[in-house]
Amino acid sequence: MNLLGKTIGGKYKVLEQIGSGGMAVVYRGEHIYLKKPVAIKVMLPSFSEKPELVQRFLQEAEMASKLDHPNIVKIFDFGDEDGLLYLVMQYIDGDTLEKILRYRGKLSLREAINITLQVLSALQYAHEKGLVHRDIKPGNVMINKEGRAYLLDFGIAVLGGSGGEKTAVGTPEYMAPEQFRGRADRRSDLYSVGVMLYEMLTGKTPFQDAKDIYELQHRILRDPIPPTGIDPEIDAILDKALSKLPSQRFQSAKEFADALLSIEEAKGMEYNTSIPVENTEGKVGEKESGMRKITQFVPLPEEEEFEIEDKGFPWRLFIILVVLGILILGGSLGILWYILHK
Amino acid sequence: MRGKFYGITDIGRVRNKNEDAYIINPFTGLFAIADGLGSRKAGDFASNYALEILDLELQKTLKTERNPKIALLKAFLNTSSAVFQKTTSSLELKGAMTTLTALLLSGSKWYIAHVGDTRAYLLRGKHLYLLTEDDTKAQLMVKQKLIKPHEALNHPARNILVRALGSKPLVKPHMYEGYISKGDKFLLASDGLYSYFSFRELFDYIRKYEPKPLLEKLRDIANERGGEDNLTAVAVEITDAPLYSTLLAHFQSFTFRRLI
Repeated sequence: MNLLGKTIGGKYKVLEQIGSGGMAVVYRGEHIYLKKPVAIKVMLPSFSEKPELVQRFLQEAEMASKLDHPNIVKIFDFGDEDGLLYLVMQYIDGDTLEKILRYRGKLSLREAINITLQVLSALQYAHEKGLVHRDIKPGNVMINKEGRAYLLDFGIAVLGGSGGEKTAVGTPEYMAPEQFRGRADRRSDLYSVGVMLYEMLTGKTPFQDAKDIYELQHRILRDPIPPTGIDPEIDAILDKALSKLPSQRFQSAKEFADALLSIEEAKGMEYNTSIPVENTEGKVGEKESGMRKITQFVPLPEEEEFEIEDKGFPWRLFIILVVLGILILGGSLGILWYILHK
Repeated sequence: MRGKFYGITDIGRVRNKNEDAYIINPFTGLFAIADGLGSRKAGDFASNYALEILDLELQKTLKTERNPKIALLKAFLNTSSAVFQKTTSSLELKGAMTTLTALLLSGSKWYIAHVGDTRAYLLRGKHLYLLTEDDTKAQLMVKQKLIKPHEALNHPARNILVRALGSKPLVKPHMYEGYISKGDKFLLASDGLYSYFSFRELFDYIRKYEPKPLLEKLRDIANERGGEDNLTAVAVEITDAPLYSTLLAHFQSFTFRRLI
């Protein structure tokens, strides 16, 4: 599939490839009449045959086109060019947070809080519209040169929330415990924001060293989050954000944001300010990228086994019964003997 | 004792949100399902909230109480008051209620605390037993001797709930208990599932399948037959239990309500 130099939909010229995800390639393009830069996301042909993925793509187009928020990438157009599905979006001159983290390793507390606040602002807006993103991760956050953060990819967003699907979709390292059981609501998004904040501060996700998806799943469902050790206040916030039970987390993006704003480092910030993120591209060199950080169909947990300690044989009850039995038997024999000998 | 378990919840084919939920905590031995009711957001909140609180409360009470039955009862009562407080404190959640059927496995015995029309079935040997009593109008009519017990299970009034968490500040659960036998199979199910099956069918499927394929089978059939409500089920199979409790359990079976 080589689209470079071609014109899509009669008005968008494809200029260069700027990214590729699991199921689509993203190009930088230009509106040929307005000379306006755009980003064009084209679904890979191999996926166009899978109805559930086409459905996802259509869903992203429909959902995201209804959203109008300074921290959410805008959707301009959508179409089908000779069987290729494409989405035309606002072009952001910057990098994904994933790429920035790969270059920088980790960010300062102030930078991390600022990006988190902007993502929370976008989520507060989306959640109020009843939309759950379901796949919050650094790869879905773009940061431009001024430090403004944009949330991308509402591809697996679902109106409402809980569902009980047969398989879960998401990026395992960022998924909340309940998402592995096929359920997600706004608090699952807030969990993922917590994982992202954790990663910005420490350079890794809480259970990044798990050796496979099964261990990862197990640890997300059971293990406590190791503290970052950066700041007790931020650790308390992460502890709450990453609770296993949704009911113990922040109940809204606003509540999460307010907790962050109360931290000393956040002084002078507001709910929706942006501070430039230092871009040291090429200085540190690419860090090895995580293997699992792609959106995928995640199997629901298999049948599980349990073991519960048995109580030993109830000896006390047994002895009481035996003694009682002997007494009753002895007593009746005695009575019989007495009657016979009278 | 040792065993296997699986849980499933499905929105069904007609409703647009899932008010059913389940929770499993293999460490405490808690398996529970809930079917919420209420307007708009309220129903699914009540069921999920009740399960989360029950799980948390039980972790606490099991530490302080020696008798698992008392621990389960206390945790259930605390849950019922938490649900009432929460749903009456907000306008949006007003009127939200939920059923709750909780199975606790502990020390070679099972305990059930139950309110509502979600059910617990037990397959033991060649029989299927219904361990719980529905809190429905039909069941009340049985108690008043207006209809016969077997009529209640298919009576039109069997869908009318008379008790649920959230209706009163404190709702006392029905409590049941017994010994565990090797080979026991428990099925907790919401009405969205069990209404689609005859006792004979349930018996056949439970006997034939292990927890995961069983629940997938029941879900698919219920949806084929209409799927008019959310459905939820949890299946637990006991693969190993001590001999003495297996023996005692079989003596106890006579006291349960036998369906097949």
